[in-house]
Amino acid sequence: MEKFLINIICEDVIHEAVIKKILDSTELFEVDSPYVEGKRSNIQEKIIKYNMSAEENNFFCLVDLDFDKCAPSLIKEWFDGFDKNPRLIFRVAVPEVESWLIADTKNFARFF
Amino acid sequence: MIVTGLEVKNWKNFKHIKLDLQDINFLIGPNASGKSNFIDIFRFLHDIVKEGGGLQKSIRDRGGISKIRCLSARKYPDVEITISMAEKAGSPESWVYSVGIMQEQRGLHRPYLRYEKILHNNKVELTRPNLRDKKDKDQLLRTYLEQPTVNQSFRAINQYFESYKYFHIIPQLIQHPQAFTGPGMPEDPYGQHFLEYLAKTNSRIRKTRLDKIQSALKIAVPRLKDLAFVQDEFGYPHLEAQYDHWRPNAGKQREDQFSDGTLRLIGLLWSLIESGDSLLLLEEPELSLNSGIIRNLVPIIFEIQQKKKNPGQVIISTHSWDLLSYSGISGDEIFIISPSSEGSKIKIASADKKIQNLLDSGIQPSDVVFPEVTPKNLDAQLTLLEF
Repeated sequence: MEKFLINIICEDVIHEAVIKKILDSTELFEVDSPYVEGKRSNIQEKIIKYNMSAEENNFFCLVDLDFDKCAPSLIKEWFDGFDKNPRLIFRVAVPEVESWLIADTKNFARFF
Repeated sequence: MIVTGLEVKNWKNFKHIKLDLQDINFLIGPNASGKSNFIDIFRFLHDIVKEGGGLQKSIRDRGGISKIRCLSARKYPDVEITISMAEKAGSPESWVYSVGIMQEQRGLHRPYLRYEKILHNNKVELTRPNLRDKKDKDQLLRTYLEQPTVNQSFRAINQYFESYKYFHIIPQLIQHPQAFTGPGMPEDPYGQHFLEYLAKTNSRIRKTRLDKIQSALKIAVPRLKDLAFVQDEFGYPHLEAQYDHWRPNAGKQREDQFSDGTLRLIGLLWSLIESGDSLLLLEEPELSLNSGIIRNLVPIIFEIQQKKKNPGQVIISTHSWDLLSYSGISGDEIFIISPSSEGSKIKIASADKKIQNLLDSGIQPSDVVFPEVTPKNLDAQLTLLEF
């Protein structure tokens, strides 16, 4: 089956690697370009622009929840007044991606 | 005059490239992808026509045809360059110069012309080999472009190639000239004799240019004032400026006390102003500069170019995210070089639908184009994620 080309929007290389792993496991997507933004606030600043670009491109964006209240309120705040384009898959890691990795105790232990 | 189009076959790591050029062109690509080799195409044309240059020497200086030829073009022996030029941006193409170069199979293995063609306003001005070449094969060892006796009708191209300037100032060469003795490089691309060059420039022109540079520097180095050219008691040329700081009566500083960044900026601005309506080749102008200054560099370049009566053309190679962060840069001004097993490829950013769409959405150019050139296996070491 032909895979969908998808671009990644993320905070750092750990996020990038995690997203790639997730997308690989679906066997549906092929990662095109990773847009590694350095920090969450950079993504927040640009998310509406990426949302616009999602008219023609596929994106997967993953951000940490960090100290925000909850994922739905974060999404509401970031996309305030705009409809999120369905071609932009937007996910929030609670509380952050690193906690997913640490929670995988078996593999995490294997690393050391 | 400006270059409107370029087609090159079998040049170093490019098997085949065909591009339209703009007034300002940015080249990006990973290390060793061929940015300098691309710039070298223009330097090669310049070397053919410059004083003391010529086809044989330009190729010899590059290590011979075998060093120029693209390794990916195994069976294809010709090096070919076609360059189209127009009087200025937007005006129709006025000149097309094409050259095909091969190497003698036997004997001295000298490079010779397979062909040399010139079109002027779509009419054939020159086509070689001609009768003379057929009678005497050695004629093909030189281009007509480099020979004043035969290039009268297309000397405009000759003068144009000759005016190309390459710039890559190394501040230490200016600060410590005594440490780098010897004749230096022809045409001084690294700025070793920049100060002597300033000394030879007409004093009125020099002052006007330094004043312009001073005003452009206001943004970048706001504490630098009264930039001037002086000669010391022995007649040696110097650049001098006052640094406005906590000691108001501190003496003036000379180039050996200027920061690397200040010197590079001065050299860069000088060459921009001086290049007039010609082509300026800049390699990594961001070196030694503070990121805030780099972010302002492109608007400064745009401004200087626009103020000229006939804005010339600039080709800039860069690795700098800051340099390309200026949203006034359009997709057709960015050339993305990517290596492949079949030689490096160049793509114009605007030709990529996704890139152009992201730019149209308002994402700044650097965010859009640099992910395209970042080596894909950089994160291979993240073995933690092998779950």
